[in-house]
Amino acid sequence: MNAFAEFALGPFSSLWHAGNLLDKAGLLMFASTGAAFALKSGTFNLGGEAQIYASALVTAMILSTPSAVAAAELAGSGGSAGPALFFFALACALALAAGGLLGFIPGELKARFGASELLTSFLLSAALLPVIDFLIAGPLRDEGKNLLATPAIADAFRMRSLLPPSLMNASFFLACGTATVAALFLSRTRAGYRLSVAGTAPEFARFAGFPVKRITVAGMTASGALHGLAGFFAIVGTWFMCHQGLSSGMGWSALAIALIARHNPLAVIPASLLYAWIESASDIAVLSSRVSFDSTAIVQGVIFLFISAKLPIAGQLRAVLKKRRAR
Amino acid sequence: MKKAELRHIRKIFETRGDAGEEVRSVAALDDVTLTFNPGEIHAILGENGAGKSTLVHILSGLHRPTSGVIAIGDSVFNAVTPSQAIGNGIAMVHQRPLLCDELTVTENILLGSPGFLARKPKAAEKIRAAADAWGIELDLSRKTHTLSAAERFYAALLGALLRSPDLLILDEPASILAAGEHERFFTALRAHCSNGLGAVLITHRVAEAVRWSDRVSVLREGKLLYSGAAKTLDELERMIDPEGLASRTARLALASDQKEGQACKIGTDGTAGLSVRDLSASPPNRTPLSGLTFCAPPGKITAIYGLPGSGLSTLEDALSGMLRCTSGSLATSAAVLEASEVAPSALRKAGLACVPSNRTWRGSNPELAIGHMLCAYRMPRFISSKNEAEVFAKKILEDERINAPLSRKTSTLSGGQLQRLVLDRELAEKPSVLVLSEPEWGLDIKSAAALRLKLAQAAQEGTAVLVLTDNPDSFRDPSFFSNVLVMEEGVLI
Amino acid sequence: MNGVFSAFTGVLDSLLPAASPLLLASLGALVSEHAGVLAVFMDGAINFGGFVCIAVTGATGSPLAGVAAAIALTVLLLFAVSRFTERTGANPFLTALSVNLLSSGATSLSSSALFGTRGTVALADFSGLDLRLWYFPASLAAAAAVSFFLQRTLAGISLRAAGSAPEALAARGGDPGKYRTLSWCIAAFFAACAGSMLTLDLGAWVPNVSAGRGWTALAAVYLGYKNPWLCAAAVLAFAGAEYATNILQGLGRMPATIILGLPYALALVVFALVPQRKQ
Repeated sequence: MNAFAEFALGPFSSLWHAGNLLDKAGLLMFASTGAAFALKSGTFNLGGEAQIYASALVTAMILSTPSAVAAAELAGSGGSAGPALFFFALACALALAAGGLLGFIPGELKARFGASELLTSFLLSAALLPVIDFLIAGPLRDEGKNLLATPAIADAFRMRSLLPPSLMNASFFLACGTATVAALFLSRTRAGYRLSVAGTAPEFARFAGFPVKRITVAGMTASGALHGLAGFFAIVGTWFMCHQGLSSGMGWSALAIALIARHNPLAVIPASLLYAWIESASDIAVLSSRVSFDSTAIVQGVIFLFISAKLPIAGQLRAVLKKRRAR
Repeated sequence: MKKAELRHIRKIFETRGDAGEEVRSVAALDDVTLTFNPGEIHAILGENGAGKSTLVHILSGLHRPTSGVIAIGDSVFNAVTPSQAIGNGIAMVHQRPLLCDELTVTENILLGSPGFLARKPKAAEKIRAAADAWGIELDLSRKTHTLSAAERFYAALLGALLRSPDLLILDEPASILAAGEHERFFTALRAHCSNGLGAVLITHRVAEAVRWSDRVSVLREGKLLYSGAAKTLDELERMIDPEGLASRTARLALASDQKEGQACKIGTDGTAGLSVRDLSASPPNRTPLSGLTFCAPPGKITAIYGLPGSGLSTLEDALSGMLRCTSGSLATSAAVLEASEVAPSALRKAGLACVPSNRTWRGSNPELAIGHMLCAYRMPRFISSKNEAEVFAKKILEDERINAPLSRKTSTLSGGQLQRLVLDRELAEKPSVLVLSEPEWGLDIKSAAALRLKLAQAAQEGTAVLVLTDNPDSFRDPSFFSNVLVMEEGVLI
Repeated sequence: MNGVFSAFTGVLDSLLPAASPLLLASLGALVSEHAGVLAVFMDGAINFGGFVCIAVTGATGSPLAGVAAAIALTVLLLFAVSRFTERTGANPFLTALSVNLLSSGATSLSSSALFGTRGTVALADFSGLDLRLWYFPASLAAAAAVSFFLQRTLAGISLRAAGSAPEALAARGGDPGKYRTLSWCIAAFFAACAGSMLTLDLGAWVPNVSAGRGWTALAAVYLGYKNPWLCAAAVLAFAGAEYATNILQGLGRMPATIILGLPYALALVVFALVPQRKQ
C-alpha cells in the first residue's frame, strides 16, 4: 500500500515534478485533440510521432536562422519586439503546415486510391523518423554541444515558466483552450456536424451529399496540424531545442488519450492529465529502480489492449454513470 | 421423415431504451403451437412484424424461445442451436442468403462441413446431382459475388439440400424468382414434397400460398389466428388485414389520378419532372445499364419494375448519385446534369430526393442520433441550442407520433418508423422529383397503405414520383401508377 | 561469362537467405488478412520471438530449444491477446498494435533484468548455424503449406470465410472468432520463426532486430494480392531493393540512419498504389 502511495504521489512530491506533469499534459492535449479529430472523422492517424517531430524540427530551425536570432537580439536589447513576434508566428504557422502536410498525405492517399490511412500514416511516419534523426545528428546539429540536438532558440522566443523551476508555461492553458474550441467546432457548427457524421456514417454522409472525401482529407490534415502544434510548443515552451527522439512515444500516447476520451476533445483535457500523471509516476518509479526499461511503451501497450475492450466491470461502471447523467 | 412441432412457444423481445427510458417488452410470439408434417408445404402468412420470421428462426436455431418447447421427431428441446437444428434435419434457406462472397459456390456449400480436407471435386459431383434433381442450372466454380439474387438463392438451397433435410424452411423465395423460374421451382418443390420432404414457406403473397400449399397458418401480432387447410384468397386477406385499409387507400389514389399515357416529352426544355437520356453505367460485378431513356412526368407516379439482377439496383445507385455513370444525362426542371456531373450533392441541388432501398445504412445509420439523421440537409452553419433544425425534427417526430428524444440513436427505431422518417425527411425538401427504391419492402399492409397515401399526396402537389420495385403487385392496384416501365438486363423493354 | 554467372549466384546467395524471414512473416500476415484481422503485430512479434530465441538458446545452449521456446511463447502470447480480443469485443487493430508496444517494453525490461543491458545481447561462443542454404527452400515450402491450407482444407476455407463473411460462417455452425484466433496463432508461429532466423543468423539479439520487416511483410501481402506465391515474388522484390540499398550504403552514398526508414518508405509506396480490402 505504501509503495502504491509512493508511486501515485511521486509526481506531486515537488513543484518541479508537478509543474512538469502539467507541461507534459499540455503537450499531450494538443496532440490528442488532433488524434481525436481524426477519430471523429472516421480515420486513424498513426503518424503522430513524425508529425510532432517534424514540426518541432521546423520550429527549431526557423527560430535559429540568423535573421530570427537577430530579431530576438533586437527584442532582448529593448528594441522593437515586432520582428521577433513575426518569427515566432512564422515558426508556428510552418509547424502547423508541416504537421498538416504529414496528415494530408495519408488523407489524400485514402481519398484518391483508397489506401488505408492506418497503415500509410504509420509508414510515412516510420520512414521519416530516421530521416529527421539523421538531420538532427548531422547537418542541423549544434556542433558546439555534446547533445544530438539543434542549436537552442533565443531567450526571447522561450515561453516563461509559470511554476519555476518546472517547465510549466502558458501552453498548458492554450492546450485546454484548443481542446475546448475543437469540441465546440464539432458540436456547434455545420462543418463539425458533417465531419462527425462522415466519421460514424460514411455511406449515409455520401448519400446525403456531404463531401466525404474532402472531409477525410480535412480531418487528417487538421489532426496532423494539431500534432504540429504540440511539436511547436515542445520547442518554445519545453525543450528550447530539437533533440533526437523528442517525440518518442508522444504520438502513441496521444492516440491512447484520444481513445480513453472516447474521441471527445473536451474529455481529452482530464484524460491527458490522468495519462501524464500515470506516465510521470511510472517514469519516477523506473528511475529509482535497478532495472531500466521502456515503461512508456508498456503503459501505452496496456492502454491499447484494454481501451476498446468491453469488460464486464467497465460496462457496469458505464451504466451507473449513464443513470447518473440521466437524472 | 420426422415431423417437427412447436408447442406453446412464447418469445419476448426486450428493447433497451436509452438513458432514463424503461425497458420495453414486446411479445413477438404468444403461445403458438404448430405442427409441421413431412410431405406437406406449410405456408405461414401474416403482415410484417406478425412473428413469421421469429417463428421459423426458433425452429432453425437462430432465436431462443422465452418459453415453450420444440419437438423434432422423438426429441424434445427447450431451444435448439443452429447446428442442432441442422443435425435434426431442419434446414433454412434465407431470402437474402448468407453466402461468403469471396468463395466459390462449392466452397460455400462445403463451409461448415466436418472433416479436414476439402474434397472439392467429390463435393461438386454431389451438388450437381442435387441441382439436376431440382432443375437448377448453376456454375459451381463461380465466386458467389458474381451471382444474381436468384442464383444466390439456388446456391443456398443446394447447400441446404446437401444436408438431406427432413424439413426445408424457405423465406420468401418467390420475391427473387422470375415468373418462369417461380413456376419451375414450385413444381420441383411439390414433387419433392410428395416424396416425403416437409417444407415451410414464409410468404406475404397470399395467392402463392393458396396455390401451392397444403396447409396455411396465419399469424397476427404474435398470435396464431388460423392453422389448417388453405382457404380462399379473400378469406385469408381479411384475416391478415381486417380493417381493409389497403383497399381504401388504393381507391383514393385511383380517384386522384387519371391514368394517362406517356405524357411528357423527353427533352431539355426543363418542363419534365425527370428525364433520363441514354444513361449507361457498368459497375463491376453488377448488371450494367445500357442507354436508358425514360421520363417521370410531374404530378404522376411512375414505376419501373424489374426483378433482382435486372439492373434496377444499379439504376437506383445511378439516380441517387452513388454510382458514376459512363455516359448519358439526367434533367430536372432545375438542371441538366451530364453523367460526369451526377453526384449526390448535384442531384439534390437539382431538386431530386431519394429514399434508398437500404434505409438502415444508406438512408440513415444505426449509430446516428435521430435528430442528426433528420436534419442532414438543414443543419445551420452555427448550431445554437434552440434552432430551426431542431424544431423541424421535433415536428416530424410529433407528426409521426414517435415518442423519442432527438438524441436517441436511430437503431432504437423499428424498420417501419425508420422508413417513415427517411421519407418525411426527403419530402420536407419539397423535391421536384422523388425516387423511391423498393419502398414497400419490409412494410406491413398498414404502413404500406400509409406510404401509398403519402406518395399520392406528393404527386398531387406536383412532384414527379418514381418508384423502383421488384414487386408492383404489393401496390395492390395497378392503377396506382400512371405508367409502369419494365426493366430487364439493364434495358427498358 | 563465368564471372557474370558467379556474380549472379553470389547475389542470390545473399539475397535468398535475407528474403526468407520476410517471406515467413508475410505468410503469417497473409493468413491473418484472409481471416479479416490483419496482423499489425508482426513487427513486435518478430522482435519478441527473436529475443526469446536468443535468451533460451543462451541458457540451454541448444538453438533448437531456443526456436521451440520462441514459437511456443509467441503463439501463446498472441493466443491470449486474440482470446481477450474476442471475449471482450475489443478492436483487433488496437490490441494488435498493443502487442508491438508491449513487445518493445517487455524485451527491454527482460533484457535489462536478465542481461543487465538494453542493447545487444550476443551469444557467447556461438558459431552460427550452418543452415543458411536451407532458409529459402524452407520458406518456399511454408508458402506451399499455407497455399494448401487455405485452398484445400476445410479449416482454411472456414478461415477465409471468417474474414469475408463471418455471419455466413456462423450460420453454418462455425465460430468466426475461433478462426480469427487460429489466424493470429499461425501469424505468431511465422513471426517467431522469422525472429529466430534473424537472431540466430546474427548470433545475437539486437533491439528492434526486425527493422521494420513486420511492416514490409504486411505490404507484401497486398503487393502479392493475398496469394502466397505472389507474396513470395513481392518479397523477393523487396529483398532486392534492400540489397541494392545495402550496396549504396557500402559505397557511402547514403547515411545509415536513413536506410532504417527505407523499408517503411517502400511499404508506404505499395500501400498507396495497390488496391486493398475496404476497411
